[in-house]
Amino acid sequence: MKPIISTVFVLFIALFLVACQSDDQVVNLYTSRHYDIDQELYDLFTEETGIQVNIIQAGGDVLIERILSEGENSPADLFMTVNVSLLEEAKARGILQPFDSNTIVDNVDQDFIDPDNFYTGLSMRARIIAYHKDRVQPSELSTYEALTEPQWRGRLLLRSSSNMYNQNMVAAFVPLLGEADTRSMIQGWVNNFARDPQGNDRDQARAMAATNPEGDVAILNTYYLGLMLTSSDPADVAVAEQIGVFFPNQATTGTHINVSGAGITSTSKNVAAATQLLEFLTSERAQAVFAGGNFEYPVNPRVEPTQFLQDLGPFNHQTVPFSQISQSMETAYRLMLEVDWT
Amino acid sequence: MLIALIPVLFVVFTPASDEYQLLVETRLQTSIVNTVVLLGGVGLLSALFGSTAAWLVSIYEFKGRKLLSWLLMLPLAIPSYILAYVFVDVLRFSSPIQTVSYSLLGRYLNPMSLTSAIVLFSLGLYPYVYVVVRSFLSRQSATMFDAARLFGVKRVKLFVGYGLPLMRASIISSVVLVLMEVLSDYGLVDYFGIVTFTTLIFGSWFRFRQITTALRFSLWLLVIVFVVLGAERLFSNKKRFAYATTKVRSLRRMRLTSAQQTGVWIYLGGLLLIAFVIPLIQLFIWASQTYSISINPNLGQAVLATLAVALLAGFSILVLTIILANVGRNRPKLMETILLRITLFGYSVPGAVVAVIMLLLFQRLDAAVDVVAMSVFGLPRGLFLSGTILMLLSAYVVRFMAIGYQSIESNYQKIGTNFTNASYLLGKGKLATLWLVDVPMLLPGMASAMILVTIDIIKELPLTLVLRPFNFNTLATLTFRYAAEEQVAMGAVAALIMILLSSVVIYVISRPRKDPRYGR
Repeated sequence: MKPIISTVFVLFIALFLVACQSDDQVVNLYTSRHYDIDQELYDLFTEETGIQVNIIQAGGDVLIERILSEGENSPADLFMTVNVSLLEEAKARGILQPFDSNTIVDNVDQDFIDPDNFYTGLSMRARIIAYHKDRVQPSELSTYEALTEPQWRGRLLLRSSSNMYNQNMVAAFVPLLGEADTRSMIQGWVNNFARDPQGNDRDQARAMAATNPEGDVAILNTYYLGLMLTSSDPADVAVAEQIGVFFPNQATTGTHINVSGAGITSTSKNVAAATQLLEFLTSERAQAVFAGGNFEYPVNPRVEPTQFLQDLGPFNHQTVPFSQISQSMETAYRLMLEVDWT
Repeated sequence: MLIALIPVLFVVFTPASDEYQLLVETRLQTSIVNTVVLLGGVGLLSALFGSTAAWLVSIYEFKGRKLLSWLLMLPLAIPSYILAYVFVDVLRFSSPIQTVSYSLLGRYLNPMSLTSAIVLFSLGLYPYVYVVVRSFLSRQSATMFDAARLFGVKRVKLFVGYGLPLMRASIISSVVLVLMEVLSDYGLVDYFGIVTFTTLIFGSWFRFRQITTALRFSLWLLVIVFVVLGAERLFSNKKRFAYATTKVRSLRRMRLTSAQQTGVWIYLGGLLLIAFVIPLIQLFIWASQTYSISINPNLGQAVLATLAVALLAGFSILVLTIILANVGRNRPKLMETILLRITLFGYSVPGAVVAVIMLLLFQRLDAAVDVVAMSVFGLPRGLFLSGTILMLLSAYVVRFMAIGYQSIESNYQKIGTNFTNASYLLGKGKLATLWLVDVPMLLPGMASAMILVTIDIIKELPLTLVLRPFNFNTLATLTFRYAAEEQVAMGAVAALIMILLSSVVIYVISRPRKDPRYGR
């Protein structure tokens, strides 16, 4: 028993040493992004500025709860998430403060920046219509709304309504189409479902490419296809090669996008360092990393997206104000429940 | 835990919102049906796998028995959501299994169906039953089996007629653990698109921003928990039996013919193959594709951190449960029972709910510390406890207390109170009795409790994600980082190390050691 107890004790001490860090120049970051390139960027930032980046990664929803419960004493300096409606929510609940930096404003396309400077976008993905190249001609596709037509009965693949990307997409349509039309659009989708919603974005692509295909069109994020095409798993590459990308609503409201971004917390004790990190992340150098490593679109207009995205061509994106998307999230979820989108 | 529960109970007195009504109208029925089918299926299947496996390795002697009896615990090391990703990949439409299925059944298997969820949960969680029942059987008297054998009872009949009634209490109490784990799962059911109470809780909390509605659905869960526990009491508590002698002869295992040995190996080996070997192979394939980019310096630190929190929290839970179980045993009143059973609540609601309850709890603790610091030192302390490793460890204790309690308590029931009362009669105090009489007899139960709790903490995700200090990673969070972004292959290296670590922990705790007999 004794050796066990002493081991436990030593481990406890070691744990405290790992957990406690000296804090001369730091940015404390709460983020829901999980990518390797993010870590690369923070390391680069530390190398350049000597500022240490401390990180807690968890879901955006619960991170907001954590910041709120920590209150005035919250150690968080920056809140970063893959979902702009959560940034809007953080703003509305008073846990963000505006940044004061012309560099950021200059770096970022104004479509992707909060009008009051409470947060800035860092990267962007498009939620497009993916189709099986053998069974669907791009000429058959036009808009998200057109996926409600009877020709798509039993052919449309969508993941579940608990998914944040889907919730955001529906929420963006509420201000565009109004509640009633949004409702009939998603009711039309549900009627055309190829199967009960299951799996993640990649599984929708896989279901189209299977020997016994379950559907012909799906709505998913571009960067998953990019990642599948360059995957180390040959089966994933084979799937992605059969899938075509169509940017819907080009003549109308634009293709839905989701933006990841970050804002400085209202209780931050390291505002200068946090601002510096935001400036760095929106700089051309860092934006090139966002674009290159993860198939995301850069938000800095001076940076080109990766070759895969360039080959897909330019597109018009939705320009619904982020605050309106955020305010429509509840309505969107209610509509999804009402049309029985599981 | 009780303090944490108070806000939950207050919810009953607030009026239900429109959103609650909407969720009730559109989702409640589906989620009740899904939950009942899921619990029923997983309960039966995991009881079947776990109890037959425990029975075979405890009652019979065959080649490789020791190895198998250790290996059979290992599926516990694989988180359910990893199992889900693995089998979705293994059951791709192009796979040979699907071809066979199509030619035999005329259709492809859907790896993301409710049935599939039942099978996967059972494969990953049967070790709860196996571990608890096996530790129970290890303290069985040979007498009644000898009697049965004397009368020439056949093997199957021995299991059904003698084994099942004997093991019933331990099977049921461990199945309760399995069911709680299923109730609190979010990863697998969400991936498969199965609507359960977790869907309702997260929907009302994150989308409608109504904590009270979320808590209201958590109360539904609590009702289900009490129904399950009521059933447990009903089925397992009819007869209380305990030894009256210290001369408990341990089992002499029966030899099997070589044909029978082959049969046992096919069954147990098959179970292991599907629950452990296939996932392991798939993880190795993924790891071989990704190791060059996914091995990073965080891994070493994560191993240390994982081991440290798992052992620390595991140890605390062990000590606390022995105290709790002792209290419950000496005062078998209804109130005590209910209070003790509430520990199960922490284990049956989604981890994120426990996480937020813990955040609020520590916020209040810190406010109290602040008041003291102000008056004594004239200084505000800021956040003293929140965000520290202590917060995470306490959260583990709240969450996994139930596992320790269930496995210790089933041992206590077996021991009865004869020895303890004798010790009191001989003038020993409560603590002395606990240490000299109960603890030695509880050792196998303690070992199994420690295994289950430690492995569960090694795998734990939602609490660790939200409550951890800065730059703190466990193997589970490293694995999940990639899975969350649909790149589960990239997390394979961390997952394999996690499984290896769990296997080592299981081996160290359960390795055969000199057995201190009762009443040395």
